[in-house]
Amino acid sequence: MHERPQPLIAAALTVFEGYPRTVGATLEDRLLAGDDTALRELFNEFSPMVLGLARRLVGAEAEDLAQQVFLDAWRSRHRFDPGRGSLGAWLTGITRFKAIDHWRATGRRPSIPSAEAGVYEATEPDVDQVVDQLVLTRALEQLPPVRREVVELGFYHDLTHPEIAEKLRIPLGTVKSHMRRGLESLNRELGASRER
Amino acid sequence: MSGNGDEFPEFGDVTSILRNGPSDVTDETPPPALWERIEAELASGSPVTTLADRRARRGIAGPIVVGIAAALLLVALPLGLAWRSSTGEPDRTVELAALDAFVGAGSAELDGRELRVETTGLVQEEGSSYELWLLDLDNGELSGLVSLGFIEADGTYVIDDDVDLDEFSVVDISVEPNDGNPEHSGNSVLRGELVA
Repeated sequence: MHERPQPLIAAALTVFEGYPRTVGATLEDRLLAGDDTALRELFNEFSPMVLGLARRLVGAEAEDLAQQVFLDAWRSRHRFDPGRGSLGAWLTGITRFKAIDHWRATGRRPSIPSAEAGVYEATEPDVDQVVDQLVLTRALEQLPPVRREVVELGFYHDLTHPEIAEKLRIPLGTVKSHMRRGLESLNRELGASRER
Repeated sequence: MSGNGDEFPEFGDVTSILRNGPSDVTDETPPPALWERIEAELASGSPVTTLADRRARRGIAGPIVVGIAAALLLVALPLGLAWRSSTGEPDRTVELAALDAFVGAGSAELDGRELRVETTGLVQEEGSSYELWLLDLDNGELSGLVSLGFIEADGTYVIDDDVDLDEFSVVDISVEPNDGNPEHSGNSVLRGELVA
């Protein structure tokens, strides 16, 4: 090839040749650019969530399911659209459909019901309900603090808008706008997790 | 009753899920073997994946990669000439001919590490895309392949520096189902060999 480049040139070439993994691009950018270090990072960040969810959804098969989820995420990474929702919502969506496929393939109930099935029940949970609830719980955690509190007080603690306004010492109109924007964010994440 | 949610009928799903309270799914730290299995499965898969998708495939990734490329240009410009001439790539061209029952024609021209591709007669069908590849064929046997990305309107594709064009000298256009699988579908539409 060519002569060993000078340090400055070497740096420029390194940047050029490896461009998806340099330049401080976000995980989303690098994943979309096909940078294979992005998969490792995706795994590091989201595998506890995916595995925990898979455990609830398919019990003893959780690790196999989680493996499929990350392989599928890598192979279909070009379908991830940051404009539609977060990486977390996208991954929970993949987990959702893998679990639905799993139960479709294995049947709704174990052939021999057993009390010794272990810690995990080998019966089909309501996959959609479990996933939806997790998506919204995680999405709530991503909201700005006051907005999160408004939504939690309204739905988890059943407070009225005036009660929330009084408790947080903010105007009623602010409560309403936080509530609306909060629900919009949650709705977007829910939608992203439901796209096949 | 607070009536929360009744004011936001457009978020009906979100509000009814929220009423079930927060998710009780807990994270689970994966065993190291899980990542190893994922890595092993990727390694045993297609040799395409490391280079596939270097070009952004669609959506928001386009502007991001263009942005990165533009930023790099500023760095690379003063060095570009020296770098380009040092690669010593001969310019080559190829006529692309239709294979089997397919119709269409095309041509490709190599300029440095850029391949400019023009096609005619390829029909864009719903649910599938055309993908550009370089193949390493030894006496008709496939010994390697790299993806240069999906066929796009601008028609210019960048070839990674680690691809030896004396080996990967066959230009191939395949039709690929939009199923997220990055491997070659096996359905080549147009093909031709780069010649000096």
